Amino acid sequence: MGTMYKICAILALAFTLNAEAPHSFKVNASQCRTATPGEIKWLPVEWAPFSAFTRACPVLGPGKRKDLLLITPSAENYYKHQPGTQANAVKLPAARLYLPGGRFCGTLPYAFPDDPPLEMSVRFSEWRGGSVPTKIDLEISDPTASGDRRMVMLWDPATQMYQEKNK
Amino acid sequence: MTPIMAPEATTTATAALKKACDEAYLKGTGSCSNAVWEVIKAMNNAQEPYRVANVLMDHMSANWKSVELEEGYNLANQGIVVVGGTKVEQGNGHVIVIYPGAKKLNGGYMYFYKKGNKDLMLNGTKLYPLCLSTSMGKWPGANSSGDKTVWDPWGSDKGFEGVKFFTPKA
Repeated sequence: MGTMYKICAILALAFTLNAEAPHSFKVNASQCRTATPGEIKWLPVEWAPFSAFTRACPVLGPGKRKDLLLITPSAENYYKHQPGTQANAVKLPAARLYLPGGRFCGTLPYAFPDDPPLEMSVRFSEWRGGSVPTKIDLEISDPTASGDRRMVMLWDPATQMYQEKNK
Repeated sequence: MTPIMAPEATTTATAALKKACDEAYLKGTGSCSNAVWEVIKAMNNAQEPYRVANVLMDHMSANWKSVELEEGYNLANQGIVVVGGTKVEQGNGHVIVIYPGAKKLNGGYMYFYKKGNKDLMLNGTKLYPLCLSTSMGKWPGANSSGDKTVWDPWGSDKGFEGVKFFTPKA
């Protein structure tokens, strides 16, 4: 009886947690693809040196709906393409966010998933029944004196853009 | 890369500040706040209590005079202690001392980028004052006994934007 009760309680808790778990989406760099020529046309001119190394990462909403596109230069691809064992460190353009139709809706602080010497993880959450996530959590791992840190970006309904919280 | 010539560091105070910075660096604790503490003790107050970087930043904000970088550079070249740093919420801040001498270009060193399997050269972009900085971390720009600039511990314009400088009130 006691064991049955425990099993039922665990199942009930698991069901409750699952039912109430809000959707969130952590961008996995291995699921990004090469940006299409059409997507590259969305980008500002300063991206030109990086167009061959530009990746597009779909941000999946509830039901695996493609709600956003994160477009970023790939530091790894860019530097691997440079000849020799040494290369000049360059300032990479920061990753940009687009709605499915190509409307620009925000800039992340850095390239994804890394902008040497730092690395950045990106998680989208809080869809709140809408077509876009309203919150972006960024975790930055940085060996410089700036140190590891977290940042939050929020969807601003007035401007239809993501803005860094407290800015 | 010829550095811009600054006024010659000839005063006794300037020589003393250089000596204090060099000795703090040579102690090799790897702790930025310990190195800065050594300099403050040598130059200002032998009884100064030790403060970790975040606490020191709070202390300086409340009790020291805030200075712009250029003013800090001029003060350091008169042998006056100027401490710069950033406070990191839920993390470790970083503090440095402006080292007397002429400005030099930032960068000029390499770091290894593992994913790309490359040594990346951080080329200089602008002249900055020199610094004393020590760190237990692996970032090459964070260890300097006057051979790197105040920009280098942070290694980017975005990181350096948040650095504030202070000097003890006269």
